[in-house]
Amino acid sequence: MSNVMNPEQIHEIIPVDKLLFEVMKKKEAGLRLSQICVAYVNEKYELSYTFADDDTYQYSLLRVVIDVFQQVPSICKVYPYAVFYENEMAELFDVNIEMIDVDYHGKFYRIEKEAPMLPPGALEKKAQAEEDEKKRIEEEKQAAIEAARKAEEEARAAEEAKAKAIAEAKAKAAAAKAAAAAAANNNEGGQN
Amino acid sequence: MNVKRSPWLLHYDGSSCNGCDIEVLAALTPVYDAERLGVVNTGDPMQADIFLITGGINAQNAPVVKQLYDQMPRPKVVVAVGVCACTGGIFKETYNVLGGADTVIPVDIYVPGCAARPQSIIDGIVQAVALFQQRSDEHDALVKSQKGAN
Amino acid sequence: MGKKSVVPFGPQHPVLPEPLHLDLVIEDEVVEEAIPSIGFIHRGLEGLAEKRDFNEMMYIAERTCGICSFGHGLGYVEAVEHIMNVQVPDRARYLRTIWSELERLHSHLLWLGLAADAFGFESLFYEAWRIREKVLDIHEMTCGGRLIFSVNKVGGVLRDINADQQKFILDQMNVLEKEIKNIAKVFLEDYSVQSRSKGIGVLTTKQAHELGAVGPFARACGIKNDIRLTGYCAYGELDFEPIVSNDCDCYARLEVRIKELFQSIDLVRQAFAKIPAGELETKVAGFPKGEYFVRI
Repeated sequence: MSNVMNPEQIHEIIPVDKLLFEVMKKKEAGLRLSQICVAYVNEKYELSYTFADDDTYQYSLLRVVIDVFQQVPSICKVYPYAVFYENEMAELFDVNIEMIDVDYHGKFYRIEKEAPMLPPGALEKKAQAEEDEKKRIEEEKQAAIEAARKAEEEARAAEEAKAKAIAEAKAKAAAAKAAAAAAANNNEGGQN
Repeated sequence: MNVKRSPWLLHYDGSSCNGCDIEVLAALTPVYDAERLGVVNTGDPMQADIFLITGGINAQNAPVVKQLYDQMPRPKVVVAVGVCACTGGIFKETYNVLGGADTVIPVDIYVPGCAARPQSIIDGIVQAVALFQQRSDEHDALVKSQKGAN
Repeated sequence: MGKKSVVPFGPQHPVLPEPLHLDLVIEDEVVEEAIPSIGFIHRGLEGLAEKRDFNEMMYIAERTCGICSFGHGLGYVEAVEHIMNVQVPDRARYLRTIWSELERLHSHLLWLGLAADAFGFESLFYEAWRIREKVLDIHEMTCGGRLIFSVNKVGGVLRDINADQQKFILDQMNVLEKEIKNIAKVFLEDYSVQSRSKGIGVLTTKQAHELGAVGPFARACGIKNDIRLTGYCAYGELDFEPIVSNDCDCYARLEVRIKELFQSIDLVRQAFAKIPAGELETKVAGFPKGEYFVRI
């Protein structure tokens, strides 16, 4: 019998901001990128990056779950041939991938229909979700500007109050000193 | 003019799975020899008489097929090989396939099958050659009558 | 420094039957860059998975490619069987292995023929394809179709190979071995073939690893990787070693494929010696739900 090597597949779920780091770890271990695919499940995208080890036949999978409007970084700097898979994902499912090395901007296969693998109505939902997200970010920014302005005003008011208090205290001290000096003069005059 | 002893073929694959293409090439190899009929597989559309098309028409290759058909000189015959070129086959309901070859060019002979066997392809070529001879005779008669009128 | 010109290498070309569009940037008759434009064969058959029953999808998956159609069908069926936890009976596993190796025979002979045609040796192309017709006759006798078999189903296989057919196949293996030895001599020792393939098209091991090469291409570049060693179907019970060459050029790719032809004949003989009698399929109930990745 030839020696059969069939290890179990490894599944890992990672957040989007850890993606590049984990992919670089796989490259350091000498693994080959096998394929990248995406599925549209429960109104979210589930990306699957699979890697194969040519010596031990170990197959491992990185799963990233993102919202429809979220941006995903491209891994073309680590694995140059990922450009085919990422262009296909951008064309068939309309996933937002940024900084692909050779970017065909949705015209890789030149299909007539936009995002053909999404169910009907999903593109409109995605556009709506993007609008909502943009609005939310704008509102947050405005709220942040307001809060900053208010904080600045309060700080300035506090400064003015403090300055006024110091001035009053100084004036009181000066007045007290003047009164004390006048009283001393009077006493002296009275005595003489 | 007796042209039926040397028809030249042009073979183009528009979105086929390659099964019918391999059977077309197999029809030209020693066991199912179509070259004994004088057929030569040329790569140049401007020297071809018979256009063998496999696979369905989709958005990307519709202008290409039209241009190849226009580049061939008259008289010409079109043979659709395989069920994908006849009607669209099992891919008829996908989002990219528009239908068979007759959505862009006029087809004369339909050879069904998935993958079409070399015997059927040779039968299709024999009928295409007979049709080609008939068209060539009509073309000659037309040219002669025009010259006679002048 | 000469001028650069862009020559479109159109989707219809006399080299191969597949359509491919390249924009070649040429400077002084040397090709500097090639910008591809692909997608002519895109039919969108993954979209059909949502419209068809999971049993019918096997026939659609098979027609992804007409040359390696058994492999595509087998991959789909294995994935669904793994998701539904279906155990395929032993006889079905051995039959799948035998059909897989017969398909590998026909596919490698096809490649060798087209390679010979590409460097202009037409009579060698015709000889390789004449030998390939014998393999296609075996396909037709056992499955009914020459290129597209349609014998797989979720849970087993649809047809059997009886004792007469088995004897015929083993006799044909002997005939094939003799004939392949003849053309192997021409491929590997002929001066004109060697001068068109030795030292040409070199892809070093490091480059092959960085670009993700797989299959006989990677084995010809020195990477020892054969997926059959993971033991799917009945490969775990057969005895073979992956064939690797360290030369990394076109000649090495010819050599690896020719040696794999002899290895396939040997594997068919081994499988027929060990095949047990038994059922052809297991009953499957319900619908698949889940995911799995299969490599063939």
